[in-house]
Amino acid sequence: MQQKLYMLCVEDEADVLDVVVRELSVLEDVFPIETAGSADEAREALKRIEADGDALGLIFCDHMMPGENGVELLVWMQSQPQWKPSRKVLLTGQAGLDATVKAVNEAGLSHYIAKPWDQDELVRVAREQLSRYVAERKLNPLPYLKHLVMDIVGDTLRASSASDT
Amino acid sequence: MSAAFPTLSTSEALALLVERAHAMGLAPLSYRAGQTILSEGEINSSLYILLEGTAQLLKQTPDGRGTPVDLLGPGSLLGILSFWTGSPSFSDSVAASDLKLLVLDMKNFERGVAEDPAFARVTQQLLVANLSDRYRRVVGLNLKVAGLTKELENERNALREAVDDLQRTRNKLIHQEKLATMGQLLAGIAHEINNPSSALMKNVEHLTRELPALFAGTPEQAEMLEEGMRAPYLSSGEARDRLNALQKQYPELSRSLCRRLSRLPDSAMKGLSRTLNVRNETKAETLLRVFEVGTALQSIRIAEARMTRLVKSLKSYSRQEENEDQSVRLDDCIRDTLTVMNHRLKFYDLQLDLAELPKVSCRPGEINQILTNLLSNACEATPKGKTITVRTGAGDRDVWLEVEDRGHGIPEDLMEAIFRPNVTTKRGAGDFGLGLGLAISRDLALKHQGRLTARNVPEGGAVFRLSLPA
Repeated sequence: MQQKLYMLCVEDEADVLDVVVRELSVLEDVFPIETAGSADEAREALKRIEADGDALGLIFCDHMMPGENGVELLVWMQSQPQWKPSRKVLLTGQAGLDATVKAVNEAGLSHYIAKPWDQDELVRVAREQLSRYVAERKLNPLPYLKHLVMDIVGDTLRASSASDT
Repeated sequence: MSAAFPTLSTSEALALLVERAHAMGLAPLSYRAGQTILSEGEINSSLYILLEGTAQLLKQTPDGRGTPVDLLGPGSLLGILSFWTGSPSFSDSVAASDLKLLVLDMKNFERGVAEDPAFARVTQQLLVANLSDRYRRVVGLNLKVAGLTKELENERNALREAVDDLQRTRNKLIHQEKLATMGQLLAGIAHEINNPSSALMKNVEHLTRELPALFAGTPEQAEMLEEGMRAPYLSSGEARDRLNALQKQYPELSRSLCRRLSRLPDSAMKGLSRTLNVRNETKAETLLRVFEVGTALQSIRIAEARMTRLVKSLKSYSRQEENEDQSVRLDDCIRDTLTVMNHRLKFYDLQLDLAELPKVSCRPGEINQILTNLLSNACEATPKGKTITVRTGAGDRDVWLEVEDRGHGIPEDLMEAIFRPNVTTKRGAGDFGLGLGLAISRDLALKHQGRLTARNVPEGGAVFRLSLPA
């Protein structure tokens, strides 16, 4: 069976998490969504994804959460070979400069979205980052093509076909 | 050897000297007050013996003025150093009064010493007396310098303390000003949010009334709307279990549809599964959308209630400009402060142990300020996830509230010091980082005729207790 490419949303406030998921669900026919209310739950979700032989394309993560904070989670993921390639987005209104610098330098942060966000922007960022994941991992883009950004995956397609000849 | 000669008094010695000099054909010289005897730097080949009057020694300073260094009386020798060593004269010698001097050049001096034992004896006595006198004065001067240095040190310390004191007062004023400004800002923000928040609330109430009426024609939809408006929130674990169960039950449905269905309570699911089982997906979709309108409305209502509570707390929290005493319940102060500080407190296990308390007369803004400081300290001391306890109680003559943290406690030797300005046990800089929080809090407690005290608990951590007269 085709390997599934997940999006993971981590947010401690249930009603905010609900809205993020609702807005991203326009992509869910291709990219299934996992949710977590804390960093610990996020690790469990990652374990499940790994156990099913699937992959994580993208994580949207809040910063200020009880327990381990979002940036710490992202830094940890960066140290794990299987989660290092996943695209990492902070979706937060509360990360200070220090936390953001740490996220960029140590967690390989791909993008930062400030709350309150705009649905179009959220979906655009998700498509863009998932496209970059597909391109960087040199995955076959066809199963995901519906929601990919052609400018990003097109280049990789051309490059890979050029190296074939 | 000197013991062989009887020691003469200064006047006897000078009289003898004048007599022996006279025998050698030498007469004393007279100087008028102000006349210069020797100039600093001059090459001098005579010894001047002061017979009458006083002479002033002056040392040249870089600005060209002479600083008086010594005042000499009869029996003193001038020009000793330059006479014997040949080095330039060490200082100016000026007649301080009209005076008489006996001037001996090297030739006369050597002749007198060689030929007249009385002359030799008297000049020797004068020399020894001059040298020992100078030595005594050096010792005396050193003692004086030491005394002055000590005095200077004391003055410097006093000055330093005064500056520190001023600095503390200044910091305190800045801090108070900052808090007052913050209070005004908070009140302003609360007011600004209040209007849109009220509009939001009124409109939600309107929708909550109108929507069910609009759906009244389609009872199935009206029921789903009601279900949505009161659907309980699911924890993410529960939601996932339901999602997995639904995906097994309806493998043909998409994951996102199953996720939406997982929000349905069992009662609502019953109605919808009938439609799903007969594959009427359009109708199922419509019912699901109506349900979601209901949950959205519920979400808005919950968020709005949270906002209203926050605004109310902000308003009463920042009543710092009201300086009169009011009769309030400590519980209200605690509730307001906890709401305002929720963003920090949510990282801890907050335990409330609140007793039924009589109202107390106080300035709530100031009590909130104390409570904020105590809670903020507790947050900094306590590891995340550990317990912070807020407790209240009443004694015979007082009501009290306590904030207990799970930090390292307070070193016993600092138990009182922490209430003094600029004493902090925090390593990093806090919000203000001036070590003023507890000092100001205690001041505020005293203004209320209350007390603010600290103690450690055996479990580790500290308890701060504010008690107010009942």
